[in-house]
Amino acid sequence: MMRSMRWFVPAVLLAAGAARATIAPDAARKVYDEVTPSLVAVQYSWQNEFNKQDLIGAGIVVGEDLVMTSIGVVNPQIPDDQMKDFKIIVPKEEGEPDEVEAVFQGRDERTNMAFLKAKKPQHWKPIKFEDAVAKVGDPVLSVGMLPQAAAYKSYLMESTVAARLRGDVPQVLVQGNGLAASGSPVLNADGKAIGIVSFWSRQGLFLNASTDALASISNVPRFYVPASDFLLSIQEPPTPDKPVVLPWIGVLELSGLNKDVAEALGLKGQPAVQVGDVIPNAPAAKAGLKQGDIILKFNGKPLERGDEASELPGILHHRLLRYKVGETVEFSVLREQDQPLKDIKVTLEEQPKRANTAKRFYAEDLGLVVRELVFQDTYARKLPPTQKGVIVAMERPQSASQSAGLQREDLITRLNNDTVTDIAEFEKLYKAIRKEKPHEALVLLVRRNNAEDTIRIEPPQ
Amino acid sequence: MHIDTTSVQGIGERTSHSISTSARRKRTRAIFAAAALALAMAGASTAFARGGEKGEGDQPYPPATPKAVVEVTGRIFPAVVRLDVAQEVYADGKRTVRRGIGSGVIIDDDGRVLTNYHVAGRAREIFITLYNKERVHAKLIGDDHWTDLAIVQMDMDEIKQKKAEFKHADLGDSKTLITGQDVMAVGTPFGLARTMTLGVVSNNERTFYPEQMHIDEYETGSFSNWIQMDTPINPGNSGGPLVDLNGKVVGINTRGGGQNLNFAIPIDTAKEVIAKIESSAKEGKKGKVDRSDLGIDLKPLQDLETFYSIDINRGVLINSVDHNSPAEKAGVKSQDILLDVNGVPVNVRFPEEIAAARKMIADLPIGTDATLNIKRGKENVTLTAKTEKLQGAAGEEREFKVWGLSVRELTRTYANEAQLDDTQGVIVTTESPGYAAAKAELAPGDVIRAVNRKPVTDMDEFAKLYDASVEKKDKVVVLDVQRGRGRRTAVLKVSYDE
Repeated sequence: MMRSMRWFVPAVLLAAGAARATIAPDAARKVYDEVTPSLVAVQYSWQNEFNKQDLIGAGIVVGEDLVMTSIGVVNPQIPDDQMKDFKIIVPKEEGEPDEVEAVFQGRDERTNMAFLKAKKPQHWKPIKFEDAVAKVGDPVLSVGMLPQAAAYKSYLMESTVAARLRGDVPQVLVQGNGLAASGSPVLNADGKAIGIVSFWSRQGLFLNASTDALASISNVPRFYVPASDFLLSIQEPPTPDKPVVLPWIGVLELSGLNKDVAEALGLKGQPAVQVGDVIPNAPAAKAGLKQGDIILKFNGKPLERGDEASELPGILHHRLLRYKVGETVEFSVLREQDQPLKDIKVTLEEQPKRANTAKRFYAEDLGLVVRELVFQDTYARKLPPTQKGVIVAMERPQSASQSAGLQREDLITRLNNDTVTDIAEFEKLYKAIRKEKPHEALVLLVRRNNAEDTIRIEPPQ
Repeated sequence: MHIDTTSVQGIGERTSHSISTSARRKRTRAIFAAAALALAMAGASTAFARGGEKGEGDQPYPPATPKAVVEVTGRIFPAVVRLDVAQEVYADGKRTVRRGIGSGVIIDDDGRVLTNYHVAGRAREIFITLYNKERVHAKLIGDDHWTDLAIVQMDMDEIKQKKAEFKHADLGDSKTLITGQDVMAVGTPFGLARTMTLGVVSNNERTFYPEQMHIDEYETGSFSNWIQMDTPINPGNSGGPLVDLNGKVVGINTRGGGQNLNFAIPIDTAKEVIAKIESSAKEGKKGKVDRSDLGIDLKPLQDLETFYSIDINRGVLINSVDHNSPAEKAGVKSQDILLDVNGVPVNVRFPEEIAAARKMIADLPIGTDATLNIKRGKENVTLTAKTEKLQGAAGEEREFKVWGLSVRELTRTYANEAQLDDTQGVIVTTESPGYAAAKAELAPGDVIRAVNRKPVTDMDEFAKLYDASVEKKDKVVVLDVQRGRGRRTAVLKVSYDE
């Protein structure tokens, strides 16, 4: 009985597959042929203080010499100046692919895209993305690129739109065979590029990872982001001189009110977001927004609904990111029950510096890389924003620093008898000690979680 | 070195439960083996003769001759028992029990039994099986998680009625133990009653500094070093005696590391705890050990003497000062060198000396001023800190059935570890699936700061607000909750249809 059931199930699935809307083989082949020349790989070398690694990810030609890739390929946690030797790899039908020197243009975290430009002018064939909606039941195609181990061959996948989900970022779910690898273009039956395959965590982003060359086929992504979400990046891509500057209001720990909370507060049916924490002196604090305030309107309009309450903060944040520094936005908030809403106008400022752009210093004999303290460090540690010190960014394996018990993310506040105010001070103190006593042990005061620790590091003699 | 923590609960069901090493505090996680609890049971055939004081004939470190081993085994067995315990724990928003088995040793003719906290602490129900296989009821007199000890009273009426017989064991001295000395462990490993194993003291001042040990959420092992021995012990041995070849109890078998690395609590530590528990236990009130706290983390000064320009073997490094602690209020800072407390020198050069220094502070009278003589840079400063009663991170836990959750009192220690600004509120620990708290998506670790906008100062206030709300049959309860650095409103939709 069990045995016959096992065979019965796939038969049903096949029958369902046959009933789906499909694209004629000729039309599909045409899309494949047109998209293939626009698929390239982007390569760079990630060089930190002690390691070097080549990374290759998928890219899409969006201008004659401009390539767009997923932000994950150039992870925002990698400091910009550690990414070197950018290249755009252009596969050829036969023979070795062309390697074209390129310049990193920057990331756009509003859309989760990043851009590279060829150093010399090119005449590549761009893909033109359009804000065209695929409805449930519509067939969609995606053309992806196989890994280096499969010679960057492009491949076609066909599926059908199954549902449109809101999420923090809008997502379209497909059924059927699935989509090509993360970052591949998605096209409709007319061959219009309408979206990009979302990052799929069960699949790597890199085309030179030593995993199964066909992993992208055996475990396929099923979500794509519609073009409407990222078109603004292509229209105005970042350049090294003009990076995307992200705005912020200085409000963290937002929570979407679920149905029960909304009802209890007399807000039935209204999407609402509660302010969990307001950073002192940040734009929202200056404008008078307070912890506990419940945001009901943004720029005079009710908040956009999500599929569930927990998506509301993400949707609001996503929306906010699309405003420019210096612009003013308005939140209408409920502070006291049964009182009229308060309108609070917040002028957007630039986001505080983050770890990837923090200055670094490498104390080579200790195998210790420290970096500048940034807002996120003090916030995560529940320390006042005035906190001084430097953060342990990295330790060389088996180094003196590591064997002394120093750990990544430790906050160093003292070096021997001196207070470490910032990275420049650390470097100065360290060099002064080393000049006089090249091999002397150093004593650091560090903070880790809730406690401090005094750590003595004995450098190799 | 890493040692696995395994404590066996519910031997009958062969489930194993690991003693939690939730080392939120300070250090890399220590993984330790708690020598598991098995049933040790004492039978009595041979007479048990010796008195409490050191017998004239006792040798300093008698050898395990075949004759001595057999004789001592015969004498100690009638004093060793098996404990079957239902310990109070909270799970799924409710107070419930966890069953386990351990060993214990009878310490007087009134029927008091010494065992581990992780065997009988927080016990709601205890059965003791004597050496002659009679089983009697017992109740918890008092416990102390800091030293992992508990004292249990056997039901003497039941013993008389059943004509059960037992002997008590004599407590020896652990300070005279020397490495290499022969010792025996007695207990009920894996439920195998009346098991004796033989070995030697491998080390008499074992410390696991800087690791911090825990039993579930409760800190332990801070105030004394361990006896390390190679006598095989296994889950179920916990709480049983480690005896010398004079037949005197020198330790309580507590943790096992496998591979012949096992650890016992020195009996000198236990003797002090027994006295304090017995003197504080009242009818209807558990005995306990109160200690003082200054809120400082100490660190050995080894290799740091030159840096701090101090004499070798002088002082101890103040490694960290807890937020809102007496030391912080007194102006103590990290990297101060503490030289004396109330004129008594505190010298910690090696990790082995940490426990004694901590104990010295713990032994200060609670709520009194302690004068701290401190070296700070080139200066000497004298600070005065008022000692506080030592509290663990895990405060009192209670169930609130109608709302479907259990919460803990927020102690200063917990607030410091979780980096909360103050101790206002209670901490959510567990939730009953399908009940109001779970539906409101409260998470373990959330701090409930207000109920229907009335501030929750502590557990009693929370209980009052709960009682009032349940009395009124509130269908909707609005909570102000802190999660991480953020605040949020949560709503309990309470049903009373049971």
